[in-house]
Amino acid sequence: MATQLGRYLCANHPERPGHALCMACRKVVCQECATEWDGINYCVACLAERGKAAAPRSSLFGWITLLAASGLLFYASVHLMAWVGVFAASWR
Amino acid sequence: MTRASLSAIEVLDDSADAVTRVAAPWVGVLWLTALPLRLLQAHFIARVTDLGPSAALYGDHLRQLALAALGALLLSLWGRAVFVRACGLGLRPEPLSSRHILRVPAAGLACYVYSALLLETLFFALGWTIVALPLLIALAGLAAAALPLYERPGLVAPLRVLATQLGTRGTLAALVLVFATALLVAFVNLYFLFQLGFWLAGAVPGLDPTPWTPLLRIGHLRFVLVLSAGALLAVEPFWLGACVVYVHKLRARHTGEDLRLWFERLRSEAP
Repeated sequence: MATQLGRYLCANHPERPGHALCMACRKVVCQECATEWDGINYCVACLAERGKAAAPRSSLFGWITLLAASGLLFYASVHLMAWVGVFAASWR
Repeated sequence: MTRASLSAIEVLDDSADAVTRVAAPWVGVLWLTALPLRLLQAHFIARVTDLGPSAALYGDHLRQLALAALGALLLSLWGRAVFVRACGLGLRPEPLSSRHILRVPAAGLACYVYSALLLETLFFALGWTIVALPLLIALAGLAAAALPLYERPGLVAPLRVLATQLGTRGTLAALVLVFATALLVAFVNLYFLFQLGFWLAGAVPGLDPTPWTPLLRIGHLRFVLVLSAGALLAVEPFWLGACVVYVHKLRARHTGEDLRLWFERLRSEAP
């Protein structure tokens, strides 16, 4: 792959031959600009983007809304299940 | 060069390997946690049928049964999360560590419980339409299989993850169809297994199985419900395994990991 990409030039350094293909933006990048993360090649910009996305963000608001919504859904499911049962029984 | 679309056969082949690899003890964990749910669901349907048109007078009783069944669903969701984690780690070449598998990330589990409860609510609200059932069943499997992709708690993020898994609808539809057939086959097999056991019991001296005859026939509702619960238990590990492989393959295609592995294999095979 490196020999094939060598025919292309790095998107950031036009004087350097291509070494890898960024799997996020599909740009050809040189050896210096390419970083393998989790077995996949990324350019510097996409790696920074992914790093930001992957950074663990503890969101208290997220937890509270998630637990509240789950509680409500649980309550709704219990009532719906009973209602569906009554409806199905009376329909027979 | 274009990549062939993800085929259901490929997913089923890989999932059979993954489930076989993690079968002991993780299928046992899945069954133990799913058994109370299936039996309570069967009991609920049997009670509703017994009550008939007077069921409306027993609202509190039915609500208590529904509460017990949904409580059992929470236990079953944990079991599914553990099994999915085992299957996901089973796809890697490294040896499996039980402690690592049991440590399900809290955010992932919370997102999964939320998605599963939402689908359960939709199931009760839309199940009667029949058309929505295959989609809800597919989404329920994908919600479990997407567990490693839920990175942080939130209301929209789990649904967005779930929506991205609906990439190749044809493959998903084929998988649902295959497993619906498998469910039917498992049901018939279990029925004949019961009949065989019943027939063999007749050969045991001093044991009279005659009183069981009216109970172990296809016209008996509780027997049919127990068979259905058994068939669901038998098929569930393979269904979840297929969903895990499907999500894994879809992600690999999205990130280009499959091309990297293919290229690595070509390089290792080259003289």
